[in-house]
Amino acid sequence: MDRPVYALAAAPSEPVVLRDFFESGPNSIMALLEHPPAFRSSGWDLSTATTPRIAGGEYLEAASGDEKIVRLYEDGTLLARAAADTFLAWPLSREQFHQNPRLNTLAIVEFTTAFVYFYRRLLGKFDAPPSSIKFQITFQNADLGGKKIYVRPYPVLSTGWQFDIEDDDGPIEKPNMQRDIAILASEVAEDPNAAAYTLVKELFLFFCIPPNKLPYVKEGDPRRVDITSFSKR
Amino acid sequence: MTEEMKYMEPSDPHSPVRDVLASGVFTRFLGMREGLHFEAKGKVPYDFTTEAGRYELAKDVTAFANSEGGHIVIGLATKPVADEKTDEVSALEYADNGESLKSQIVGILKEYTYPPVKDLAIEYLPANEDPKVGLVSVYIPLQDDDRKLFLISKVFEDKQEVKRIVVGIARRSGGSSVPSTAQELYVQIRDGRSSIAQRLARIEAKVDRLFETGKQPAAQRPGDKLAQRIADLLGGG
Repeated sequence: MDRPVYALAAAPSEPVVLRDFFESGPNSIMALLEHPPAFRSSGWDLSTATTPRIAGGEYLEAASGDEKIVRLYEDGTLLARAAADTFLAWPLSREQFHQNPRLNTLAIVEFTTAFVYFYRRLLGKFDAPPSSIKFQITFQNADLGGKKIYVRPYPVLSTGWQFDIEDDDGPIEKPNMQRDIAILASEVAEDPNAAAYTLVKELFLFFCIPPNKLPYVKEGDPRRVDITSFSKR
Repeated sequence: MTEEMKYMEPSDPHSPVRDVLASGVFTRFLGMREGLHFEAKGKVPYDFTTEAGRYELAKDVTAFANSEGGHIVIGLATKPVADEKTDEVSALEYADNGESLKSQIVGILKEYTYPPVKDLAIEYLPANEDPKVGLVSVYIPLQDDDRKLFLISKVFEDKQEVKRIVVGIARRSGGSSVPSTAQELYVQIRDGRSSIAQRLARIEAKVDRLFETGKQPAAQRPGDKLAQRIADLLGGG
């Protein structure tokens, strides 16, 4: 059985180039990939604790084994893949997840938001500013032999997350799902939490969860991911 | 105006653990979470009677040495926490053979790691309430970059020693010690840690792209290639 994975992609709408793409050094793109933005220690972000490599003479890649892979191309295409049955299932083991395939809501929201923050850091490194960014979110192999991956739309450790009180678990609609979302580059730069909300909203729609029930979201106009809620310590 | 990320490392990331160890009030460890600089281990953390157990110790110590240093504290039970990708200390589970554990650790690290970790400090700290039991602290200071990478000189797969000429490299990632895969090791060895090999790889990449650009009749938007790139990523390619 193929491993269930969650993938995020982003690419500029115009042909642009990341300056000094293959250079190394403290402020280089390589350094950004090695030390990506994080909201806290031990959260769900794009860090892999490895030194990025040049792959195929074409892109940079940083990977934590098969659990998390991040690729960046000179034309600004950013890809991130995370294993749904370990990285996003925490604290369940892989075996436990196959019995009860529930995703950690904080993991998927924080990882998605960290992806947007990473892209925000890239925006200042293009030779010309792109006008908009095409994002894509993908779930693949989300049916584990008849058991569908699901989310319970509450913050982890909350009562609602621990007990299925309102019977509102959301199984993914189809094993393979993908959605394209275009967001203005200015929004990514100036309001990344609103941009992240747009992606998170679409992600939860895969699980038929309505936007007004999303955890880690701050109400307002526009709604935003509430990054202050990631760490309760 | 959006909120900025507020997470910042403390100025001395080793001080929270060091302060508790110095205070002798080990209950202050309860609820403390593992991270880049702290690993908690239970009463019997490694089975030193097996090669695999010794490998685990070497992996943990070299992972800290290859990152920013840190403490491994033996005698603390942990449980995973759901809102952070790490474990937290859930109970004191004192080691009752601290002194002997200390000397075993010294011997194993000598045999299983290379080069030696500079200024490694291993201490047995008896509990106030019963000096016959206590914690063992293994402190790995931040190492000079010139000495990295620290290697595990005996590697095990499926509890069997790999008999080829082979070493392992581990690093800290959040609250875990992560051994490098064979592919990552290959890249690190091939590219070295700096200079010529990496520069050659970059030049090669630029030359490839120049040829590629010359072949293209018009500039492609990155989005045009997105589908293929995602397919490669999902396919593990």
